[in-house]
Amino acid sequence: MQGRRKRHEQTPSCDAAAHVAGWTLRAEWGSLTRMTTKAKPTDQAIAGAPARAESARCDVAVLGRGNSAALTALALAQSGFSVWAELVHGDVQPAAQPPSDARDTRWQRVLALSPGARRALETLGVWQRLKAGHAPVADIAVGGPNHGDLPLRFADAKTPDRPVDVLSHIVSLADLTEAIGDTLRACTALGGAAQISAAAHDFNPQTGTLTFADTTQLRVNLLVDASGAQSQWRTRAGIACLHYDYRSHALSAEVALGAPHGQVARQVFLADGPLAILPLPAPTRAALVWSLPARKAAALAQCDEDVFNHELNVAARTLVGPFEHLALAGPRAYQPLKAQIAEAFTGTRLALVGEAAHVIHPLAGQGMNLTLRDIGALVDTLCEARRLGLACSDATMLENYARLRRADALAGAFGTHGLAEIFSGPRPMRAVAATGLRGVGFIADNWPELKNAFRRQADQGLGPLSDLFAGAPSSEKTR
Amino acid sequence: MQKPVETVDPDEIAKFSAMAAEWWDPRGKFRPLHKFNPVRLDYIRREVCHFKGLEAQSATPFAGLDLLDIGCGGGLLSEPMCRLGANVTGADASPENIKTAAIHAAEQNLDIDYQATTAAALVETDRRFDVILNMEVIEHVADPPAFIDQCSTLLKPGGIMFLATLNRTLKAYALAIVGAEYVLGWLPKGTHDWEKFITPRELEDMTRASGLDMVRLSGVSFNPLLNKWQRSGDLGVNYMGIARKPEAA
Repeated sequence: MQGRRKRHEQTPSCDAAAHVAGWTLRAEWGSLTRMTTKAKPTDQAIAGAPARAESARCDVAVLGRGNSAALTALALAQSGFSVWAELVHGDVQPAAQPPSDARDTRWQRVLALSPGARRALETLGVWQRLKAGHAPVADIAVGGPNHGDLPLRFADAKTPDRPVDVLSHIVSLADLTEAIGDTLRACTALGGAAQISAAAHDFNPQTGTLTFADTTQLRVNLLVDASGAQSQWRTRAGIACLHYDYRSHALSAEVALGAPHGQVARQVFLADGPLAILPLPAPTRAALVWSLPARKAAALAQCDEDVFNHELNVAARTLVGPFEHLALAGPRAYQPLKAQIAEAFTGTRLALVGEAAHVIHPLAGQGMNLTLRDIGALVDTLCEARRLGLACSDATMLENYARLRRADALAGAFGTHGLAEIFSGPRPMRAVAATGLRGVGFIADNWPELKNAFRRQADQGLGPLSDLFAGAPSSEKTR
Repeated sequence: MQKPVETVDPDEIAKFSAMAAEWWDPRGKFRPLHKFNPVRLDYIRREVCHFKGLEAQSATPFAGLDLLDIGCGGGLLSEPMCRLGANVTGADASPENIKTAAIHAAEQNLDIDYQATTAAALVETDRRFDVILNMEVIEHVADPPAFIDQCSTLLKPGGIMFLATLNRTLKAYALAIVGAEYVLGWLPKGTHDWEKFITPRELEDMTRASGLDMVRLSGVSFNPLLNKWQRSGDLGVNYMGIARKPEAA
């Protein structure tokens, strides 16, 4: 809605300039076609084909300005596709200024990246650019609100001598965003595409024509929508979303512990919602992610630190034991919790990636992992299409992508969704769930294959392992 | 030299011309062919690289190959062949199909020589090919042995021809006609005529009579669980084969 209004406001002032800009750009198209000529130029007259103006072409256009779009563009460019990325070549608005006290907020928002996601980021060259470090998670302790509910532990208790398996890596969102930005700037494969100094305005899926506000046109084979949960492109393609509002907020902050965390992530399921304490690189620091009813979250985000610390220690009493005391160590932030999943992940010449396709409960920090699995599956799908000589937009290949990803996203969404819902339900439900978890814990402790299966699903998702997650260098792929 | 027999069946051509505009609609009448495309492209890519000793890892392994897609329809195979680097000639007896194919290729920026012509007419020219794709065509022609003969003439010595068709079995009648046309509605009713289906034995006899060696036969089956086509050992319904023309003696 907001986007549409904005467009109307822009139209009158743009029209005059667009005419001029259209001409200047048309004059430059000759040099722009350089990047597109994987196919042979049509110098031979084809019977029945209408003469058409040559416009700039590329395999894929990636829409969106966030991390999902950046990672998609990087992965596709590194696999040899010609990519036009809105956040590289488009009308880039200045990024939001980082807060003046950036050091303090660095660990305010964190992600839990699975080992597969780490390999994917290494393949893309992003992981190596992280500056703030990362904290491996060697074990996860999960429990309910009462002392007896703890713990279901994920690491293999029966074989303590085995080298520690890393379940996930906690990284700072701000740090990761910076690293992605640095990688993008260093990526020469993204440098050759058309610079277009206007906002993408309209897409015709029949012809693959992406039209910009200044009437410039770009012919793309496939549009990748990585423009986030509120995607206009998804709406325009007529793809609806299933929404779920948790009616609660996630409060996040860095906290100090009275004793080392021992690389263990801890989650308690409380009546208000889940509370998680995730290890940070410093041994006595952790990231707090606390779901609360909206009003309570707002109150706790603004109250005195002493009051906050008291409330936190009461809520997390089953966790506090080993740490003696939890204390706030950085600024607090909170955001509403929502889940949504698109009814279709693909359309004509369209593939959805990241939050445009799915937004899940951030409890398990799985959002970025799902997005990277989307990207891995999309790159594999397009590489296979190219190997067979098919266009990137081939409907059968896109159907494969959709089938692979929707099942995984649903599993990711409803796995964490289910846990959160059960534990915030009525007391008998919680008791049953806690017993159930203990049961699962017992079975899993005595049946390591089950734990490994859980772990594999959390790491790689459902479906085949993508090349990106296998860590295959893109140069080895068949071009 | 005797003028080659015209093998085109006018009724079949009219039937496909009416559908021409729908060739590239992946949800339209040709959806089954779109879904079928990856498995046969994979087969073609592998086997051409094998028989022609080409670099399988290359982006354009077919560079330098003269390839004829006979009965090319809307160009569902011609376009991938062009992207893999081949010099593609797409031939179809229906001018409407050729028009659809040419317009689509131009949109894709692909250089394909589309001709509204027939195998019989091509024999009269001096064009000869390294690879001929003869996919899902033979069950639609009026005189299959003469058609195979013409295709054989169009092959260069050492050239290979891919053949794909439907077997004349009860199972094929049940699946490809009753199932695909009447029950599932995958194909328009009347797309196929069971009497025109060809058994692998007949195909081998025809190719041998035209001086070709049948070097491969492989079944293609639909896997409903995976919702995709896969190669299989079952030649009972859809099958593909490769016939090779001996090097010049």
